[in-house]
Amino acid sequence: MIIEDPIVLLVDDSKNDAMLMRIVFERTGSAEPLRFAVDGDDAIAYLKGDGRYRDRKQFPIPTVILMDLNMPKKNGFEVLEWIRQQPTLRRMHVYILSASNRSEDVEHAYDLGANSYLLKPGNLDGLVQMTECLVAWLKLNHFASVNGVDESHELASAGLARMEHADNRSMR
Amino acid sequence: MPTTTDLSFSELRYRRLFEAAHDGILIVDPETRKIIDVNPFLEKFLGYTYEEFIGKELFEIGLLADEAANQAAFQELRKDGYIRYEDLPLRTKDGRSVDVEFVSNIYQEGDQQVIQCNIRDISARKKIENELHETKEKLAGHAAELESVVVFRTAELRLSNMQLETFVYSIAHDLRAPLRTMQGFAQLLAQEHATSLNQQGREYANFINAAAQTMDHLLADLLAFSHISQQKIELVPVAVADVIEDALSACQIDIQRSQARIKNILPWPTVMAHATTLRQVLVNLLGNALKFVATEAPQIRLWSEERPGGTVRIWVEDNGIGIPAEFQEKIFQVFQRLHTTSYAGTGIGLAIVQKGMERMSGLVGVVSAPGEGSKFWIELVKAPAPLIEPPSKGVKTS
Repeated sequence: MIIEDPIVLLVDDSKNDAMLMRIVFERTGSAEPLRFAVDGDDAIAYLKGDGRYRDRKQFPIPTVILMDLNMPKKNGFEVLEWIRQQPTLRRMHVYILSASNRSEDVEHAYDLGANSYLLKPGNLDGLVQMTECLVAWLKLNHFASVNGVDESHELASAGLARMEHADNRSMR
Repeated sequence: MPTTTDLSFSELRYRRLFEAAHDGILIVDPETRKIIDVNPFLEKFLGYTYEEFIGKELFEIGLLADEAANQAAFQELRKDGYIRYEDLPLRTKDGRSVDVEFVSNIYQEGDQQVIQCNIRDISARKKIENELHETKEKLAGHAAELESVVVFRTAELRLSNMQLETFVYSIAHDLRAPLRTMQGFAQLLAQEHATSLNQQGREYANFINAAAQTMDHLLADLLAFSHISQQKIELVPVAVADVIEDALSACQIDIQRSQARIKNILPWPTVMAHATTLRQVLVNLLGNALKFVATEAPQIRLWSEERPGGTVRIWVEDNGIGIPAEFQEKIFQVFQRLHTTSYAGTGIGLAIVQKGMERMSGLVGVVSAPGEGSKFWIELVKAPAPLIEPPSKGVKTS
């Protein structure tokens, strides 16, 4: 299915980078689809719908995750690994957005199941260009439901709630 | 049958030899095993008087360890007719230790036997031998020590090289993050808040923006230089034509902007190289040729030249400002720039060229004079006849 208003979850511990990204999204049309997580743990909480993220109207399951690699607590690799272990998130598009062009980082990201690897642009013009491309690209793409069963974001999040429940049980 | 006179002459000759010899001589009676004659040298050498020698057995003057050794020696002497000890430690009467070579023979003299012992002082020789041995051992010890130091230092160097790589990488990586912020917001300030700033304010924001971009280029080049110095390089046959084409398309924006005319003169050979590194070298040479122009548009000629000894030179000729002879070596060093203001750049480009060629076991050089353009060349080994595979195109690694 084509998604008219793709939701982008930006996972980045740099407030400045996140703020620039918001401004650039505003410039390209709308910052409406952008959601933020400030580190790896926060991203996982968002995807699980923990705490305030329980409100899926405000924090819907994203169409794509733009993720930094180098972050405190859980880094991008760990979050990516976690996502690929969740049956309900197996089709989630994860694009790495990192300043690292080290081939070992690129290879590791793809090995863990990243769908794309973008280099953080060094200047504003580059960021604008990348964002325009990204938004256009997301609108071109056909997306399947993330978990392969459910059709909508709401159902996907319901799946997540079930998973969360199972997690809690196994912890007891 | 010798006459009495003959005999006495012979006796005299023997006596002279016996008295004057610089080896010790003992005559021993095989029956009693007692010394019956001794020459002056041995008296002096061991410090016993003639009287002290006579009537003694060999072990009594320390020539053999003890009575048992003495008997064993005499038995051996009877059996074989002689004994020989190459290296016998002796003690003189006053307690000095000396080393001797001891040879003993048993002779028939008429109807009775006599033993003659020759004792040669080998202390000096032994001393030299010992010194030589010690020196050899010391030398071996030093060599081993040196080797372990080299092994240790090599390991240390390798480690510090790795640390340096990580260090340079994290500097370049971590420094670029705040730079993105500075550059981004300075540009936003100049663009989106232009109306609330006066002319000077807009200029200042632009300065910050430009400086941040320069620093970003600097860090990117530093990263590239660090990368080319550290990456694994394997030399394989590479079709130069493909790499040239690749490098030209990487420079396309600069070529169009400067309206440069490029003459790509065929044919191109196949050389032993690392395609990515060769591409990076050529991109930097082309960038250099495009940048340092006087007034007219750049004209660049690219061609190859076969050299004696199975190598190939790739020439990059420009019509630029040229380089004075005294600077032609300096330009290949990191951060060396001849022009501070008129030409943009970080001063790392030619250092990358030099390092890249060094990594590919190649050479680099320049023929130039001010106002006459520059001809840069790089030299690589020509690949053996059949080309295995052209380098993969389109994959651009930094």
